[in-house]
Formats: sequence, structure tokens, C-alpha cells
Amino acid sequence: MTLANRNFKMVKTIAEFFLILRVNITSDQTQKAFGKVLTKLGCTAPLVPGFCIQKKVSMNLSVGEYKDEFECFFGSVGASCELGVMDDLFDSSLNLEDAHYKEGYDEAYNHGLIAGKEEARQVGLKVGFEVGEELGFYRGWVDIWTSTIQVDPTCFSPRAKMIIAQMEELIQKYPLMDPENLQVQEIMDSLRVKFKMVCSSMHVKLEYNGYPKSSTEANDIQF
Amino acid sequence: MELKEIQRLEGHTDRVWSLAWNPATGHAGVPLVFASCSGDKTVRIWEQNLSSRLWECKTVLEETHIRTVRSCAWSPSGKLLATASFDATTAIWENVGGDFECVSTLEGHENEVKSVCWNASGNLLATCSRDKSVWIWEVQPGNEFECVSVLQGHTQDVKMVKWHPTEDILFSCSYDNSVKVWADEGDSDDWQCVQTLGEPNNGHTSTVWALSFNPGGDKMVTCSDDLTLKVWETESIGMQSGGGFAPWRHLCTLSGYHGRTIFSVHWSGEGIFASGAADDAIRLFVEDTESQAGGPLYKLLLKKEKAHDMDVNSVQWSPGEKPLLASASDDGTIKVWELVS
Repeated sequence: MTLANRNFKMVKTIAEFFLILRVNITSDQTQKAFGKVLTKLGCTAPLVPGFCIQKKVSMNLSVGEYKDEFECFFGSVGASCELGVMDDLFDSSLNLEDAHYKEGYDEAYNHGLIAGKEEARQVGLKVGFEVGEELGFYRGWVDIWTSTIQVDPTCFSPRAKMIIAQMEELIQKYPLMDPENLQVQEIMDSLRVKFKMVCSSMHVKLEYNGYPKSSTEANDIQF
Repeated sequence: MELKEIQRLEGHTDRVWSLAWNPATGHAGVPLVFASCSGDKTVRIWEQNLSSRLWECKTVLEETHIRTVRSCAWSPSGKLLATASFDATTAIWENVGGDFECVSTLEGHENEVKSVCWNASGNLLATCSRDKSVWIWEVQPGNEFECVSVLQGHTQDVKMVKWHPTEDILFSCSYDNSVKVWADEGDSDDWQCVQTLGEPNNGHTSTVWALSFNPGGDKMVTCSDDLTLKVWETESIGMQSGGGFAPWRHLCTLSGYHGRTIFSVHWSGEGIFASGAADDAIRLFVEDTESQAGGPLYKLLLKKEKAHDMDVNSVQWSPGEKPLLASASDDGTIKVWELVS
């Protein structure tokens, strides 16, 4: 019961304060508005044990419509308080924890948003550079091969020429400005394979240095 | 029935990985010839002496591959020999009057080439590698080979490629436990995976090491590290007239016969399939004609214990009327066997 003891102490210090808050608003918005007001009060107010709401309904004949009257009590948890009020007293201390938790969460969330953005920017720069470099590597070779074909149309096999043309198409199709496009990986994989096929056809060994070689990943044991 | 050892062939200085019979030999008075390849980086060509019936090494193909030669395959005409090596290349050798000359080198794989196979008409060649890809090459005039397609679908090391005996349909098996079927659908050069035989369709649960077709080409046997042999069948061979593909389905699983990895399986023209395994034994299986409905469709014909001193890496039936069986082993030897009753 350490929790309760701690609250009673606080109750004593603020027991002298007694506040009635009265708000008149149209019936359809009352609960909503009050919910807001109370949440705000709950969040901003210092320790307020024994916080509770009472609802009274009365008729306002002059306006001709129902109005809800709410009374809101702060404090007033003396010796005469009943069990129901005691419950509220514990609620408040629990809400307190929630409020602090939420405050901490919000602070961390906002901080994370900023830090995450910065980190993402760095990763984006790195990955974007890598993709651009590899695409540029293929772009260069396709340009050279295309120029060579223009000078001497018979220099490569029909199949190699076809693959070079397909590479050209793929490079143009690559959604440079749309990194979330699902085609990105597919196009890059296709470019890599086609590049290998052209190299094989020409009996040359060209390699993009940035491309991770799987041979270095595994050990040398072979079956 | 007994598997009688005819001869034990020595010569390789490291494990013998694989061997291949020349399909153009063994009939019409042409002596049987086969090639063997080894961790000693060489390929040996063995020929049977018609009078003594014994085998001798006619030639050694060396100083071309700089690492283990993992697999070899003769073209259907028997004129060309393809050899796949851990040095990432595949070499093509031409037989010119008994002399072998390296006429082409196929480069493209990133690393170790594991297997090589010619299609039935000899105009296409398939290779597979630890780089997880399968390459299809077309034979061009003047011993030129051009890559037609790179097939990417396996998620691990591809152990073996095998063409269907009559159709241009390619099969590959892998460390990813699956067998994939590839066909050229519609436009030329548009090779696609048309079927994957994996665990969900009663496939193997570990590395699939090899596969072989029955003489009719409507059944296929696969062997695996999961200690089973599986037989698969198809309704009709190849691509149907409408362009659709007749899928393969699991027929039966032979389990309980092997206690160690099965590295090799080969189906003979007589309908007997042989298996070579890490327990140094060779087993022969035949169709069980007396099998009850729902029972096993194939039975063990015989088991040759201690066929070799170490793992049996490859078993291959010879062409010809009375097929012989050759086996290659980690013990560095090759043995030729005759099935006698």
C-alpha cells in the first residue's frame, strides 16, 4: 500500500482546494468536449489525486432543448470519501504513469523521426550512388558497343547485338527517380545477366568492381 | 545375378569425379570408349582393346583446366567432348583421329562449373555452377559457342544439368533440394522454368545430386543426400501440340536402401538403374512386375558392397547391346563391371 500512502499525503496538502467547474454546451457535443477538456486538464495539471466527474441532466426550458450539466470536482477527498472515490484516487496515480510514459514516448518518437530521417538520408545517398555507378558502368559499355556496331555492323553476333539493344532499353526504363518502384531490382538483375552474356559472347572478362562477388562469400570447400 | 568386376583402372592421381561413355562407340565394331575426369585436373580417355577386351588409357587431356575437372560429356555424334571445371570454364575438345584438341573455352560462369550436358541433337549445351545459374549455349559454325540464355531460379549451388533424351527440355538439380524443369516457350531464347519438383510435391528433402531418364523418356529417377531415390513420370513427353507443358509427377520413393548420400544414378537401356553412394557400394534396381497395388514399383536387384574403397561418385552404363557399368570413385580408380547371371 505504499502507493496509497503516498497519495494520501498529497491529498492532505491539497485538500483545502475545492473547485467546481461548470460548462454548458449542446447535448450532442458534451461528452466529446468534456472528454477533451478533461484529458487536457489531466495531462497539464500537476498531481491531482481523487479526480472524478459527475453528470447531472436538467431541462433548460428557455432555450427549448436539453442541456447537460457537468460538474467536475478536484480534490475533496477527505475522511468522508467513499470506496468509489478511493478507486479514482488510484486511477489518477495510474494515469500519472501513463501520462509520463506517453510524454516520454512522444519525445522519443519525435527525436527518432529526426534522427531516422538523417540516417535514411545517408543510406539513400550511399545506395543511390552505388546504383547510379553500376548503371553508369553499363551505360558506358552499351554506348561503346552501340558505336562500334554503327562503325562495323558485323563485329558482333546477331544475338549479342540483340542483347545490347535490350540492355539499352533496360537502362532507359530504369526508374531512377522512383526508388520504391518494384521493377528496380528486376531490371538491375536482368542488366547484370545480359552484361555477362555479352562479355561471354565476346570472350572478354569485364567486371563491375562494385558488384559483390559471391565467390568471396563462401569458403573454398567444394563438392 | 552378380556384378562382376572386369577391370580396375588406375591412372588418376586424385579422386575421380565423373565419367562419360562415348555414345558413338560400342557397336558396328567400334571399340567402347569413355572419358573420366578428376581432381587431378586431367581428363583421361579410355578405350577397350577389341582382342584382349581390356581397357587402356589412350590419352590424357591436361594443361587446359587449372582446377578440378568435375564433369564431362560427349556430343551425340561422339566427335566433341565437353569438360566442366572448378576453374569456372567449360572446355570443348575435338576428337581428330584419336587426338584431342581443345577447340573452344566457354567462359561466363562466376565460379565452379559443376556439370555439362549436350541435348539430343547436339546443337545445345547446358552448364551449371555454384553461382546458382544454368547457362544454355548454342553451337555455332566453326566450333563457336554462344550463350543463348542464363537461367536463374535455383537458390543454391546447381549440382547437375541433364537434357531430356529426345526433347529440348532441360532438367537441373541443386543443393536447394529441388529439381527444376526448363523449356523454351514460344519465342526462341525465351527459356523459362516450367516446373519445380521440390518438397511440396513429394520431392527430396536434401541436396539432389543427379538424375537420369529411362529409355522411353517418360520416367526419371533422382538421387539425393536424403538417402532416397525418387522416380517421376509424365503423361506425355515434351511440349504438347498446344504449346503446353506436360508436368512431371512423383511416382514412388525408394527409401531404406541407402545409409549414406547417393551421388549418382543412371538408368540403363535395359531398364535397370544403378546407384553409386558414399557407402562405397553400388546398387541395382529393376521394376517390380509383381508389385501389389500401392506397393513399391521398383525393387533392389543386387547390392555390391565395397565396390570401391571410398565414395562412389559416378555410375554409368555403356552404350551397345550388352551394357557394361563403369564406376568412378574418391579412391582414384575407375572400375568396369559386367552384370552376369
